[in-house]
Amino acid sequence: MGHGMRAEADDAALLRGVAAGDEQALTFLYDRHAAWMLARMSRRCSAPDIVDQALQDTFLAVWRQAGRYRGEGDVAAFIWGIGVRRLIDAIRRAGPARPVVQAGWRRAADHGLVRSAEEEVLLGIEHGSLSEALARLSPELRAAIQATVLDGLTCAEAGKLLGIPAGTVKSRCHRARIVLREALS
Amino acid sequence: MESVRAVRHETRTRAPLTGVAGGTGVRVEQLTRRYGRTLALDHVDLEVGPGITGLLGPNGAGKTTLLSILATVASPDCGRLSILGHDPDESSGRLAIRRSLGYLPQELGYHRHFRVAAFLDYVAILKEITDGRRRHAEIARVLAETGLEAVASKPIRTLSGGMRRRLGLAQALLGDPSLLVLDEPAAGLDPEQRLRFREMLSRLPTGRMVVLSTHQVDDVTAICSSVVVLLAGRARFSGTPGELAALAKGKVWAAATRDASAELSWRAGDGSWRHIGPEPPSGANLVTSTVEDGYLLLSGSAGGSDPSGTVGPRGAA
Amino acid sequence: MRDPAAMRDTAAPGSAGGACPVIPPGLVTGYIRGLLESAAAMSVEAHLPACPACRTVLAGEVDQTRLDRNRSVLVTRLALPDAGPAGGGLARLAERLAARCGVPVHVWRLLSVTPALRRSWLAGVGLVLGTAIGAARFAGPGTGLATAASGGALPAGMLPFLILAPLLPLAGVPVAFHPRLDPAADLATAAPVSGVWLFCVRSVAVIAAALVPTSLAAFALPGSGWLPLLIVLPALAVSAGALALATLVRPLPAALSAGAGWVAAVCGAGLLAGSPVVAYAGAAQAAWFAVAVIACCLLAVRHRVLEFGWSR
Repeated sequence: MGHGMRAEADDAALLRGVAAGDEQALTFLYDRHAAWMLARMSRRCSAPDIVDQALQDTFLAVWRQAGRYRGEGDVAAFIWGIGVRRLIDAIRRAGPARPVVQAGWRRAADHGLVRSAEEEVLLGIEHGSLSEALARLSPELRAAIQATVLDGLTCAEAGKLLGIPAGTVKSRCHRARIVLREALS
Repeated sequence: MESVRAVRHETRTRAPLTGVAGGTGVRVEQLTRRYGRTLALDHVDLEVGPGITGLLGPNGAGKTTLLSILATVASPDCGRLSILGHDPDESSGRLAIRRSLGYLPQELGYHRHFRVAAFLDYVAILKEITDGRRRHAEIARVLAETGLEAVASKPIRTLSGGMRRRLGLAQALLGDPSLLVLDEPAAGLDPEQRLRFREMLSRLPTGRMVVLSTHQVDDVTAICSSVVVLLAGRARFSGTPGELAALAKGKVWAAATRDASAELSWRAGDGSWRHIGPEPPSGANLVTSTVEDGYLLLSGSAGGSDPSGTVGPRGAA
Repeated sequence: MRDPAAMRDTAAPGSAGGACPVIPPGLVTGYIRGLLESAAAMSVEAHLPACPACRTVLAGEVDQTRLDRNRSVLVTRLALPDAGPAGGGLARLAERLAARCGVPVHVWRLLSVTPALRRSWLAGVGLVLGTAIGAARFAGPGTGLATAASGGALPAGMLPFLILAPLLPLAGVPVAFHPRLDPAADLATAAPVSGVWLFCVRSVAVIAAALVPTSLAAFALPGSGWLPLLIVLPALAVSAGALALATLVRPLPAALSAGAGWVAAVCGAGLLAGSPVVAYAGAAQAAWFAVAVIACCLLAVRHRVLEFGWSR
């Protein structure tokens, strides 16, 4: 397909190319975004074959749904929105027999890790008290917040991702919010 | 002419098949097949081991018949067969053979509408790869091995002849078979395509058996570790290409002009005349015999020499 | 292969090739290796997708082989018919429909190669049926089938449909199995897939694909009564007969013979019993059932032919 899309074109242009049926544009999008997609998905699901499957499914879904992108929000968020849902599907298809362990966010205190100087700077500038507040949450509460806030999933979807009922997600988010509010006030 | 008669005598293969033995090779004993009144295969004895075996012979020698029997697509009239340790006469044996088989027929047809990946998908399903994920991975693997990734979504009818042959090889490679049966895989390709095809064949991972048929001797010289010469339905030689060349040792000479006492003579690339015959005339300058010379000697003694003197094996089209 | 130029995104900040102004490379590395604390990790994670400079750092840390492998599988899947718009939305829709009905994907893919199931063939069947029905409706009122069976006059327009109905599923048989129309027949023979299974699945699909529309079209005939159901057994008998004969001779002569047999039966019924409708009547149904059973027995006996393909 000689659509003449250049590899350096910006995301929105590439996505328009994909919507027009340009396969090469999709491969350029893959080259640009697959790495962080893989890393991000791997933090939510520790089974590499499921993540591989979800990664392929994501870009196939982008191929089919590229026309739905209306220009609101950035393309990466659009792709991640598709990706996380493909990941949930892939987890579900793998069946309940596959234990999908979440690579949890580590707490420095648990693992004896010392914050690097760079982290100090980042957290000092950007997040200050928020990081302290987050550190107070238990891993389950943190995972629930991450799924609903960071990934933008509904309680039902978050439940499928974490392997817990939607009601549990909701109650955990609620508790997390209470803890955060206390910590930040 | 005793030495010619000696060559006419069939070169025996190794120990004949004693029964359907376990093992991983292909062993054929007294294979016979008729089509109407024509005897396509006449009591052929053969043994194939790992590596690339070339089946050399002119058109009509029975190569396609033999290969289709090895691929369990046809059955012999009589004779015994052991392919990969199984007997193709029993349906369980046939099934076991087909599970480890990759076949490229001489005329590979494609449904008109097929694109490359869809065709490979179809063949993969025929090979009982029912899991979608495994199929995708297999197709991606053979596309990479045959260098066809760039045309995966193109319709087959838009591909060139060389690419179609590669596609034929790709479908044979699906499922990672232990036995590859390729019927004239490089026929009709121009020299450059033929070279690339040969390269691709020799780059295949070793450990599997490949049997391919050809009527061009340089295919054999380039990639085959053993060669079988089939003439008029009989296996006239079986061994390494070096041994085939040795058959003509001491019987090939070059001269500035044609020599009437030779059985075969033709003009070589450097302008001299090359001759093959049982008795070099005294004073002739003997040259090292090549595989082609050995083959010509065999085929010449089979059905009379070809006075037109064209280079290459007799191709009775 | 991977195009490194794609990593440079002309519109995003940091694309000039310099370092990222927000996140130092050490944090990206820390994120990948799972060494960061949650807040920092979330921060990097949220920032990463939009920053080419950080993506470049990331590229140095990820498993490139794994990415390449997935890329080549992705390209393969894009080329397959179920990918979407480029491959034809109709094909994908049909496949999903089949999956809903319980037909596994790989069986559907095998069947969709069968020429008899292709759109063009089905369109032809539809055309013929439309003509027959049209003739039946416009050829004048006349009495219905029930009265015709008991001796009443048969409307002339109905005759074409009555004769054609079992022939349409039959016509699919040689089209589906003729060696020249299945160019990859040798591959199917040399493959481990059971020749008998392939044959059965294809036959059932081909016959059903024509029989169902024919049967439904029968409802459009005036006074059709039980005709839609009465068609089934004659059609099955004729088709099964053709398939069984095809193990003895080639598919085309077999189908022609079976078709001729049917036409002879209808004409015979017309001449001997007064009305061709008798060929569909109760007693005849029993005969058709017997024919179908005999044909299936013959097929079972000759199953070895199915394994080696028609041409041998």
